Amino acid sequence: MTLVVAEQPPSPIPAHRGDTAVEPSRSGWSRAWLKFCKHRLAFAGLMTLAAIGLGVVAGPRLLPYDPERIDFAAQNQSPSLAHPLGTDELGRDQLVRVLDGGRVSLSVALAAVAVAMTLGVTVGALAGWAGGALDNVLMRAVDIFYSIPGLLAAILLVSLVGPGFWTIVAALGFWRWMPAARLVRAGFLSVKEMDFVSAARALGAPERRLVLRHMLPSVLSPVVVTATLGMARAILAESALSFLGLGLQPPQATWGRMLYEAQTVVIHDGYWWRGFFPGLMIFLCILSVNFVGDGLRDVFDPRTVHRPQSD
Amino acid sequence: MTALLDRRRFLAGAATTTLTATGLRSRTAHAAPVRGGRIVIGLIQEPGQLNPFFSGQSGQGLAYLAVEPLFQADARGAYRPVLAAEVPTLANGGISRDFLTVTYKLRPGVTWSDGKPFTAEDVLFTWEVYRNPESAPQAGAAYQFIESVTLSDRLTVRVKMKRINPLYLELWDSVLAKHKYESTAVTSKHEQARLPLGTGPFVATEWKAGDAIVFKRNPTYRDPQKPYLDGITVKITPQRDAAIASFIAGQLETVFFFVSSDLPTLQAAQPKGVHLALQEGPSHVEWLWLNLSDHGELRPHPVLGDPTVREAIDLGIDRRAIIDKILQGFGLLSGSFIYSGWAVVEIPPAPFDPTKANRLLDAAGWSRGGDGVRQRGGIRASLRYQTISGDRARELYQQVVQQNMKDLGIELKIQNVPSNTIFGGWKEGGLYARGKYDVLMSRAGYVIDPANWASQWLGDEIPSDAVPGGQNRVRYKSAEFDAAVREAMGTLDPAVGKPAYARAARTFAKDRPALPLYSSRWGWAWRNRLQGVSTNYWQGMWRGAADWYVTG
Amino acid sequence: MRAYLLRRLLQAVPLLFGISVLLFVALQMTPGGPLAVAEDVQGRVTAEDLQRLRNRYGLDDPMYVQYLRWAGDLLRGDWGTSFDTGRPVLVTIAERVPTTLLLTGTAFLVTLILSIPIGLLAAVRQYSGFDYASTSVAFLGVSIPSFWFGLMLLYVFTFLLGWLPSVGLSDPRHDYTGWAAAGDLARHLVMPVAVLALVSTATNTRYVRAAMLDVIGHDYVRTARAKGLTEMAVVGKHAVKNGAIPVVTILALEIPDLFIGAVITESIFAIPGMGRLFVQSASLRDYPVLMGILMTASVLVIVSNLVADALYALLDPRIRYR
Repeated sequence: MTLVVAEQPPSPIPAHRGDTAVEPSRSGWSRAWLKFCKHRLAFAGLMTLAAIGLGVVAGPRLLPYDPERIDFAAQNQSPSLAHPLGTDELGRDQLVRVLDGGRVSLSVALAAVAVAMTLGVTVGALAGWAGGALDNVLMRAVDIFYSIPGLLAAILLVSLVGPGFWTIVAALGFWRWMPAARLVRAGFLSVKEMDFVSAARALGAPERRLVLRHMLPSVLSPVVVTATLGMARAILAESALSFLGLGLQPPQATWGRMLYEAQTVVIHDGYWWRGFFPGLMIFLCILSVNFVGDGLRDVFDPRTVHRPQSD
Repeated sequence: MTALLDRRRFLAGAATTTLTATGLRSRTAHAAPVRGGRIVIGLIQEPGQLNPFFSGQSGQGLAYLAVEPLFQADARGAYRPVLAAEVPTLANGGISRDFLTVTYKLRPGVTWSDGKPFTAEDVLFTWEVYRNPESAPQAGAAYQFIESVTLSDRLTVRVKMKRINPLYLELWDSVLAKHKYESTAVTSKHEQARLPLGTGPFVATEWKAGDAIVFKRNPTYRDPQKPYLDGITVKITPQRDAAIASFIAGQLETVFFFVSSDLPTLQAAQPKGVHLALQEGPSHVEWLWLNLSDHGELRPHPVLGDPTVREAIDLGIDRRAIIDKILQGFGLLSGSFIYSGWAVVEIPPAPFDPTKANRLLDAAGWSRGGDGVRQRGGIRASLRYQTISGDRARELYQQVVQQNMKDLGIELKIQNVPSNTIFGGWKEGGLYARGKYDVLMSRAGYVIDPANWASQWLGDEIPSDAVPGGQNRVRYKSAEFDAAVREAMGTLDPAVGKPAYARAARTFAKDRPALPLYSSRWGWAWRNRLQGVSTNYWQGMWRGAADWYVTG
Repeated sequence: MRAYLLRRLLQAVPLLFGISVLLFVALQMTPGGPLAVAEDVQGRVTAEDLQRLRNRYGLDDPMYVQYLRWAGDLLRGDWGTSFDTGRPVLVTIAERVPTTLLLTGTAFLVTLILSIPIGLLAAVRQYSGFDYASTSVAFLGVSIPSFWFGLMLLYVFTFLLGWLPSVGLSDPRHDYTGWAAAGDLARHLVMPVAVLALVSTATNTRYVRAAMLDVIGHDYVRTARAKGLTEMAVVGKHAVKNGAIPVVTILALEIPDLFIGAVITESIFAIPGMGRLFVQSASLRDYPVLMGILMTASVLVIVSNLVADALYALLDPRIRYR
């Protein structure tokens, strides 16, 4: 199945199908931003993410509890004024742990997406620009990685090497670079032959400048969308790994680990707060990221048909 | 035997069980054994094979429903003969003067469950299988002491040891039936490895993988009255939760096997027809192994090499909190290197005294840095703290220990990994063997005879390329300890051995190459309708299945 | 077309080779091997015993020798024996497959039954209340973490209400037969299937809707409408047939998920399927089982991609592969 990609660099695009209104002349970025804001859900998603981001960074500093200090006097309390999200078997306040855990979960997800995108864009650019044998080899590598089931490979890697921030980032990132690589390669292939590139070449621009300043920016928009949606997947994957017991080590909280720790106590002891709140945070984040990604997709390339990736 | 009990704790927490224990006695007194009936045992982890000679896995405890050893130890470690006619001693001539030759006399009139006679030929065959390099037994360290095995007559076996073998009563724990094998090269693929022929009260008749293992009464069992039960079905119930729920609901007579963390649930289920028998005294001790080497190199560890640090850690752990708050009271304090078996030495654990610990560290020059972590000479007191991943209770008390150490200014970083990463051999790069760790945590030392356990800590057992199988993985070197252990192992006379082991244990406690955290409580539970169960066996009620019967 | 498929199949061979080498090397390079002695039998199993096992399994041979041996055996149908249980790998995996398929197959059916009609209807009545409602719900469904959903279901239905069981696929307390057994199975399947089906229904509904919208916007549909055909005829004959193409290919791509897609759900509900086997084997370093599962999964992915491409070519007359 071939990938259909807009053949022009980003241009003012109507927000709805069939709408042919022409926007007044403005810079590309502010036009894009306005388009984005018109997408109400996307805007709401962005605001939610900003709020969560603020919460996970500032929250642990402002709250009076230490996420790791053990206090047996406060074991297993249900939500109350003193502990709005309750406490766990070691008497630790769950609100501060959710916020502190969020910081780590989001960092892992961001890092994983960064790794994946860097790898993907590099591979895709190389393949698309160089062509020929290198292109073939790189695309074979893409095929190999596509054929290995991502979650299983991540489980395997973390089980064998042992959990650690960068191991988990690698486990998550190494299986998400392929879509970006294919997108960038396709973009390069089509952009390579375009007039503005030939013109720049004719004017004597050096090859590297050509690639970095002219070709790359025009193929990056689908990558931005992929990256954003990849963020949602990464948050989910990190919490899935932690949920299986393969996440970061105690006492560091992450959302997935809190769900892992909650399993027995929710089902057998009924301490529902242990499972409800961390999962709610994951849900809100993923939802918001999906909204934002949707908005971005509408802003950049409404006619792009993405091949769905299997997990 | 003096039990290492925190007596108030035991009496307070075990009130109900003492009651039920006496209840059991009175019940068996007036309900005579009835012949007939089947029971169902839930098995949580299905092993690959049942024959204990070829397998190190947990399910093979059930093999002893069908297989009998020559000797059986009771809960306190005293042996009595089963397939042997008597326990060889110096007095009855079973042990030679130089302790190197042991003569085993077999009980006459015993047959395998297929009717063939059980003789010394089977014992000799077992040795030949072990000896054959093409075989793959996992029979235990006791066999490595054997130099030769000869038959004096049809029922007498003379075993000459290469050196004094304190484990001479652990030999022949399972004997292979010679007539069922074609050669002495046997691996776990042989069908006898899966379903072994035995002389025990039951016969393993079939094994439906993933479903059940079926045992029937052995018609040729040497006691014509027993077993009372017609048979036992071992149902495979891989989900622990479901198995325990079934047990409490009455559909399983017992479960193989309950662990300490099940005890609270079982105790709460007693009104529902569950009988819970807690073992008196300690069971497996959870240890903190302190790497005395610098990551495997023969230099002292920069932090743990300082005995003051080790003492401070010992004083800084709140063991009581772990037992009460995490284990819900199902644990005992333990302080001795030799805490079980015939040579038990009672040594109390260090008291919880963080003030003193802090003082000691201050005096030794470990000063607190800006981040609260102590340092001396540019070295931070920061250690990796590792155990087998996936155990929730362990994670919880790991964090308690971590908090305790934080209060002392010692940083512990938890990095749990799968069992194989820790316990892989030298060649496989196992962390413990290679010395690539700081603090490891695992259970060990629950033995009848301390010889094998104590010898792991001898100076020449430190693993290296020359000694890849070395067990002294904390790299402990003490001439005093070595001398005491060698003295104890150089004799089979408990009057000499026990004080020698006591010296070794006290040296160990002084040097602190490892710190005991707590001793688990062990317990067994079964439905009230199952009677005749005795828990006076080392490591399990399963050895007494011949006496079980059901009522109602 | 046939030539193309043949070429793809042949290309799969070096692909599988590459995967197998990658995985094999990765497994061997990490510390700790399969023959570690479990914690509670330390001291019982001696170093000599382990060495004999190493010899038996050829674990001291150089890596390429071990790889060739493994690959050769694999091609001859011998997938090796598990280091943990000693039983043949093929049997171990095969035992788990029906369990997983029962779970994922049921979820797949539920997904189809729900997502196709809803997606169709939403596309046909675009911008209607139904469309907005179903799209929103689908959006939410795609964003819910499955393990959170499962945990909350367990809290409500097992802890609070006690209606549904929390572990496994059958109740070992009773030996049900016939209808009672079916009922017992159904009670055990409800929650895990709900968890699996939630996300996949939401995802597929969006695909169906998107595919249908795409088709509806095309000229030939407008032509059909202009010719005066009824809505039913337009939708039924033309749109659905063409909209089915991308949906069918997407479904084909989900074949591997039928086997290994339920890792998390199997963990939550303690269902002894392939996913759980994989997680357990990974922590035990049971190389033969791990390699067996990974190769199976990779083969499935390659095959499903092939099937998807072939279906796409077969169904869409515009596509011709050279």
